[in-house]
Amino acid sequence: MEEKYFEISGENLKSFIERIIADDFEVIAPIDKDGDTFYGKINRFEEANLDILLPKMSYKEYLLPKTETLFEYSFSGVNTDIKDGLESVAGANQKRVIFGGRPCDAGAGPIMEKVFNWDFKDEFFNERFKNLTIVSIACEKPDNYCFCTEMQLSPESSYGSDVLLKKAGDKYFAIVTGEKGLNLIKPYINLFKEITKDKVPAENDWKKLFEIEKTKSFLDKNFEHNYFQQRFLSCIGCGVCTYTCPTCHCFDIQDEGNLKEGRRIRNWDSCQFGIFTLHTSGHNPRVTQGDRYRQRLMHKFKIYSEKFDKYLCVGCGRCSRNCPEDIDIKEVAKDLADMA
Amino acid sequence: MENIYLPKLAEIKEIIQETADTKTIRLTIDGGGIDFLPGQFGEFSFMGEGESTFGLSSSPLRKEFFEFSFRYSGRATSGINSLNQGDKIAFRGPYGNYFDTSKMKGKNLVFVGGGIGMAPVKSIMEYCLDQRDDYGKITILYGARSVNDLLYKNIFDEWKKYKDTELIVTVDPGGETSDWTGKVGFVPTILEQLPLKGENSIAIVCGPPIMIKFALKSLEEKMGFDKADIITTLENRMKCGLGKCGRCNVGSVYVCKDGPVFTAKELESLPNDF
Repeated sequence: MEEKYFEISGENLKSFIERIIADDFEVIAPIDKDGDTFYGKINRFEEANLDILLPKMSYKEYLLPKTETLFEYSFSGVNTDIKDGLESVAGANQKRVIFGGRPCDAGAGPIMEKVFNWDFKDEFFNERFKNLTIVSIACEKPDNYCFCTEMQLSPESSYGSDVLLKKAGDKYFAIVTGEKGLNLIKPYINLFKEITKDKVPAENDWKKLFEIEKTKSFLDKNFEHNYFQQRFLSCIGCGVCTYTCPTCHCFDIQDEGNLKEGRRIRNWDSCQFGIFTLHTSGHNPRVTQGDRYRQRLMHKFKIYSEKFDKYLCVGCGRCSRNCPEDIDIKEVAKDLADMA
Repeated sequence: MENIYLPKLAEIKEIIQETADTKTIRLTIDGGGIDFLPGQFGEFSFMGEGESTFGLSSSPLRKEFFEFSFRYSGRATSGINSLNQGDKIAFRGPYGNYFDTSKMKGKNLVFVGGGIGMAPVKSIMEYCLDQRDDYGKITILYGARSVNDLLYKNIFDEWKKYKDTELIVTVDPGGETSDWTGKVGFVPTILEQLPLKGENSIAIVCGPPIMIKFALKSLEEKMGFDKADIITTLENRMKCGLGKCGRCNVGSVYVCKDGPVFTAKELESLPNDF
């Protein structure tokens, strides 16, 4: 489907969100909680904080929950019963809307989708992704940690959004990118006014601080460069960069239970932890925090892009904003590009 | 819709206590073996204790069962170790690439195994022995730290009975017993003493990283093997085995999908990340 363009007043946007909530959609939006902002379920339009640039965490957990049951097991005598965890995911809420996220967060979905469908298909991810409709809002003022433009997106990118809203005074322009977005707004189409593409203001000319291709070409040739060991001496390996990242998807598989019953779960994991790659023998391919931060950079800017084109980063800057040691990945990526 | 993390239940047909802390377990699914190729691996678990990754160690041509060997050292392997004949093991696989046997046909083969690294060697070696006429001379060099650490002792005689097949067993200096009749010396040292040349030959080498490093050096520098004719397997910590969980990569290569089998030539192009 070709993109379609609409206008919607602020008042009608409020009606639209309240009507989809009334029609049993689960609407997830940035909400203020515990002195910060997180994605969470809203029951009224006013609960959504649409002014915040980025919530503390991305909405990754709606695609890849922090903990997810892969299956449950129980032993009875000589028999083992297994209950497939996929059944409950497949039967879950079919109507979930992420509202008020930003283009960076929206970009993360299709980027992760490639990993989860490379050869083996991870239907846990696919089922959740299929059931999400993404209504994002373009950014007017990115902050100093943002670098989506360098990551082949932009503050106004519609990549990964089903509907992208662009604020203009007290109204919004709505870019509907495909069937999923159109199906969402169709029953409420009287709230929207269809317009032609030329009525939508052209994108700003967002400036880039560096070329990510140059970062990659440095990484291509400099695995052993001492920059990695020097620059990340201060890294305490807390893993907050990976947990808050919308595209970091590495996971652990663990069993939880006893001799009678239990479940196998997958949990978010982090390449920043020493145990992540520790062999049974005691050997560890990645001994230092420099080795581990290098892996994160390699995965994002080289390894992923060689397999799937694009990069495993949307430039949201959460890893930098939340880093207790103030490691700014944008600065790091620029350093690498400058050395290329 | 398939859940790729869902294991199958395999029945334990036989448990062979190889050494004080290693066992070989033979399994069946629906009364028989599974289809796989030599070099491939699987995820094994006693549910409740977590999964472990092991190479399959039997010849895929022996269809009545499939087997793996393991050392018990952690929670997951202790779980598997507690099981008895007739119990069930949860299994996912086979995964990964495999030894390219088409390249090995008609050539002399030297199999080099160290410690429990003999397990993946055993699979491809028995596969070749099962089709003995397809290959030239076969030399098997197997080493362990001590006599007590040697696996597969009960089938050494079986390997030797094939025509034009030689088995050399060695233990590290100090690991011999008074009645030991095999060699004493590190695997690379013994390897260099063998009358083998690189021409028309393929070497398959698996074992601890330090042994691989020096065995590769011996084969290349002292014995004239081409890097492309030396094949080894990499082991990295894995969880999914499916190219998703993100920990087994060496540079851009995922051991679970692009490996575990690599030639020495391929290893040369990888960064020092294993």
